[in-house]
Amino acid sequence: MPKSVFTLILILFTFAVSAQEKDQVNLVSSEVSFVIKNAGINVDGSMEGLTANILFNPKKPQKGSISGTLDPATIKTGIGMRDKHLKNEDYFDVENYPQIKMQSNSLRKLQGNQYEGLFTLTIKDITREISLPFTVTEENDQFIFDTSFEINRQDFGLGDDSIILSDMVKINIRLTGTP
Amino acid sequence: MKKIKYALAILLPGAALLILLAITSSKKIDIPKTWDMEEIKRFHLHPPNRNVKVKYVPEDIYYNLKEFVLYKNYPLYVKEYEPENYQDSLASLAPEIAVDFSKLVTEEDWIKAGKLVFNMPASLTPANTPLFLDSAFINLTGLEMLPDGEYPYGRYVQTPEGLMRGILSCASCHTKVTEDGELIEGGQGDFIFDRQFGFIVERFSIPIPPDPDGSVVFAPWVDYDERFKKWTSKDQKLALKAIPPGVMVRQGGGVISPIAIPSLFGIKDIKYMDRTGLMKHENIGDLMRYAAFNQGLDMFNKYDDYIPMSGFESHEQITPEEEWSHPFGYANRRYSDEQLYALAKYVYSLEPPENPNKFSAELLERGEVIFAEQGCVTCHPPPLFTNNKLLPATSDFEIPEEDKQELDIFNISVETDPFLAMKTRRGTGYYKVPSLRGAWMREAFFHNGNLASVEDVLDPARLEESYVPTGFKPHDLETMAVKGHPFGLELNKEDKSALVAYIKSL
Repeated sequence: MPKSVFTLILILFTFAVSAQEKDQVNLVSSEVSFVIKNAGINVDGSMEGLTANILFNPKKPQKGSISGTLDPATIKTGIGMRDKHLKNEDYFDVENYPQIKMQSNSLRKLQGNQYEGLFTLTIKDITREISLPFTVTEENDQFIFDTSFEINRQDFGLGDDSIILSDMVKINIRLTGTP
Repeated sequence: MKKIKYALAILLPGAALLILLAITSSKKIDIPKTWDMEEIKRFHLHPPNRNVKVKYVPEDIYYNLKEFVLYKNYPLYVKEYEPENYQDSLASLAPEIAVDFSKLVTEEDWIKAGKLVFNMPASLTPANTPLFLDSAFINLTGLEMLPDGEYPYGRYVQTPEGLMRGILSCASCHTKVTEDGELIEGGQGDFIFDRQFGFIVERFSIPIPPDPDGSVVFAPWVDYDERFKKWTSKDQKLALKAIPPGVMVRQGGGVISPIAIPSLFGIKDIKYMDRTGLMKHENIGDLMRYAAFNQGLDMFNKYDDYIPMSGFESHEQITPEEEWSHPFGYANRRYSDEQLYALAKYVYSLEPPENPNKFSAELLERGEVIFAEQGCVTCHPPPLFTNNKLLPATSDFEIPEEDKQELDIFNISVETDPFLAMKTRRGTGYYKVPSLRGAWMREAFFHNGNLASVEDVLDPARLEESYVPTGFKPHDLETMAVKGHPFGLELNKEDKSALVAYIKSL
């Protein structure tokens, strides 16, 4: 390999690494909540244990990536017995699937602070691609990522047909990080 | 010509009516075969210990048994209320078969006949044997009677062998008498048979084996708690006297795990029968089979080498001539398939009485919201107010793979006391989700009837070991926690009142 080419590759690699380091957002806090209708009443729930790896530059979102995991065993809906049931194999089967995974495939800017990402979402052993809108707000030298989207729980093997429990679940995620 | 027209006008409708009757009469009713072994194997769940092999009474032996004869029967009265010369007047009557099943045509005919089967005593003793049924006994035991002194749990029966006093009909356990003296057939029964029996065996020093040794409860595969192993015959009597209204000792559960009696209203929609879902209910034949088993045939289930009925070691010993009986079983008789079909039709036809509770619309609306918020609606969704599923009795019960395919399971235990489901012959490893319909007229909640009201179910104090159960409390415990089903316990007073009102309105 000619020396000049090697040097170029090294420079590009270094540049790429430094660019990635520059765009790295360090997670400070996270909130994951969801809402599902049960017998016409909204049931609120939450999960914790989120880990995330975020590379994001508002000016070049297409260069970024967002991935994360969530611990379904932390699910809380306000009723302990229900939480226990949701961890069973009928729902999240946390014993066999201890992580919910999300990985961006592409990110793009829409307008202003609004963006859109194509993500693969894996719950249990089911992986599906979802498109979700998100906003990024800069406040006090921090990025705040907000997204709200819906999934069909049955697409991911979460419970069966039910006459009282809605299929659609609204999920809200807020991530706060420092550039 | 005019005369011909008149004749036609009269004859034609008559002829049409006759043809219609002929068509209706010739329409053969397809009565299911009660003791169909394939059906029995489908409908009867397995004990939680899957190593136990269960064999049922063979078809030919079952159908070889003599049938109950449905004689006309008459009200039974508490001694002081019995009309003068009543028994003599009954004894002078000729025995009369109450129903000719071959002549039943319409649905109403079958329902009417079924009511007679429902009230047909299966256990008869001569009417001239001593009767303890007087006011003093009523007061001592707390038995209910109707305002005119009728004792609705038994009947007089005039038979070819003479006048008999009969008890242990379906009505004995599934009849309720309200405080106003109203009779509710099909309601959660309040006949305190066990308490009555306890007083009698105590008064006359009748020897009965202590559970769990007795055939009523013993299950050879169960490792009983030390507490029960220490029980004596005296304990047995005290245990019987401790059974409150709405709760019964059943074969397979015994006094160590008496069972809250179900309401029969709306049972047609219920997919599993017994608190433990022991028997599936997928068609009318299943209800017929349930009645056949529970009138004593389940005492002949063979669990590996063990047959609960005393003195029997093999099914071949069961003959029409061989006498057998037990506290819940009867002298080697079976129902006819027609009797059971009529009975099931009657049970399906039962309508609940009007709910006397009146609550404001606002309170009920609030209660309905709390019902949903507290998660009650998940297992008790309208319109049946049950999801018709089985719950594992304990989180420790590992659901067998075949059950996941064959049963409708809601895979969460509400962690009520698992004994009945795990350590008795009625056990399956599961409890069914009961319907809340008619909760307003019940006085026994949870499978052992430890709680006497909806309010008690929602009382957090019941989780404490210092709690005194308001319903069934074992005689050898001063206090006990009534654990599990922790829903709605932390509500404030107003919300709890609204939830109670909503549940009592169902």
